[in-house]
Parts: sequence; C-alpha cells; structure tokens
Amino acid sequence: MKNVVAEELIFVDTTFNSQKDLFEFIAETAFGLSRTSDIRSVVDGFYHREGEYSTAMNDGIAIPHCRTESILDASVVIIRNSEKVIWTEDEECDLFFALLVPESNLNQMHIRILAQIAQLLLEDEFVAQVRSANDPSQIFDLVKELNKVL
Amino acid sequence: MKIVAVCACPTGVAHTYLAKRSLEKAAEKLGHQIKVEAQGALGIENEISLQEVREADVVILAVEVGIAKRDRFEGKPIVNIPIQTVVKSPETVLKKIEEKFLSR
Repeated sequence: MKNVVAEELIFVDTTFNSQKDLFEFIAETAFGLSRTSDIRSVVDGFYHREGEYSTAMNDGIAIPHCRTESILDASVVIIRNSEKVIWTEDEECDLFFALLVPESNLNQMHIRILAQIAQLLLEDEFVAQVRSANDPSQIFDLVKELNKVL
Repeated sequence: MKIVAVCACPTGVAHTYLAKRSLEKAAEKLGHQIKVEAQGALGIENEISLQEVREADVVILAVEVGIAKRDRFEGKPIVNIPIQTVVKSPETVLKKIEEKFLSR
C-alpha cells in the first residue's frame, strides 16, 4: 500500500495550458508510479466528474477527482502551474489537488486523508504556504503528516 | 439562528467534507449555531438527531445525491443549495437564509 501523499506526486512551475493536458499528465504520472493500471479511464473519470459540476474552488484552486476500478492506491497529485488554466467558462485555476480514489478496497483512513486535504484548502494560511513554497519538497513538508492520520 | 445541514456529493470524498467545513466556518463567523452532517464515503458522520431537527430554524440540504434519513426533516423549512455554492460562498448562502428567515 503506497502513501496517499508523496513528494513524487508534487509538481511546481509546470506549464500546462489546458485541462486536457493536465488530466493526461496526472493520469500518466499515476500510471508511471503504478498507482493506476490504466491512463484512459482516469482521464475519463476526471471529465465525468467535472461534468457533474466543476471542482474549481475559490482562489484559483481546483480539486479534480475520480474514482475508478483502475486506480490501485489512493493518491493526491499536487500541481502548481505557472499560469492559469481555463477550467470552465468563468473559472481559471493554477493550483490543483487531484484526488485519485480506488473504487474498491478503499479504506477509511484513505478517505479521511483525502477529506482532510480538501478541508485544508479552506485554510488561507495553508494555501499561502503552498503558493509560496520553493519546491515540491517544501510542499510535501506541509502535507506529509497527513499520511499518519487515523 | 439554529441551523442543521446535510452535505453529500457524488464521490463522497471531497465536496461533502469541504462543504461541511465551509458551513461550520461561515456559521461561526456570522454567529449562527450549526450542526452539519456529512453523508459521504464514510457513511453518516456527525448525525443530526431528531431533537436537533426540532430545535432548528432551518434545514440546509447541500446534496447532489440521494440521502439517507431525509424524512427527519419533514415539516421543517428546507433550503436546497448546490454543494459547490456552499463551498464557494458559504457566507453569502447563510446571509441569504438569514434575510429570508429572520424577516418572517
């Protein structure tokens, strides 16, 4: 079982300019780290979820997420893009906390961690620290304690 | 005001808990009493009792999926709000409810 939060899942100063590129990168990253067995179903899962209602929050943050059979380990992919990406007609985002949720075998602790990460995004201080971090390891330091949440 | 609220989203891992925290923070700031029940992937958490329903001035339902135990709220003033609106502008939501219910 892999940790939900990991430094290898954190990226800063990326240059994505569309939601599509971002979704594909997240899915490919998860695939490369054996966290999903299938790229396409993860990308489709993100689109399906956005189709229900946008996952954009305030302050340029979005929390795309999907729950599919192909996801092997609950994971959070954190991306701080260098520019805003058009999310919907009236939303642009540059900070992404993507949640990958296994369809089955999802344990309570993992749900708790994913929920806590989402709630952290409502704390201005946390968001400011993520925005001002110099590199992925600094962001990881802000969230790594969550792996121990019970 | 005394408010009870239920949050439930399709995946049950993100917006359910985001909305819960958003409402709690906004209520505290605006001086309302609130109890927010989450119906997510962990099942029912922070369940609202019948006594709490009875005492509540208003029920907020921020639910995008069918919820359990909805019949508890029969006969109470219910406000249905998209869960995303609750996450994005919880204070506006509460202020509108305040205007509507305090002017009665």
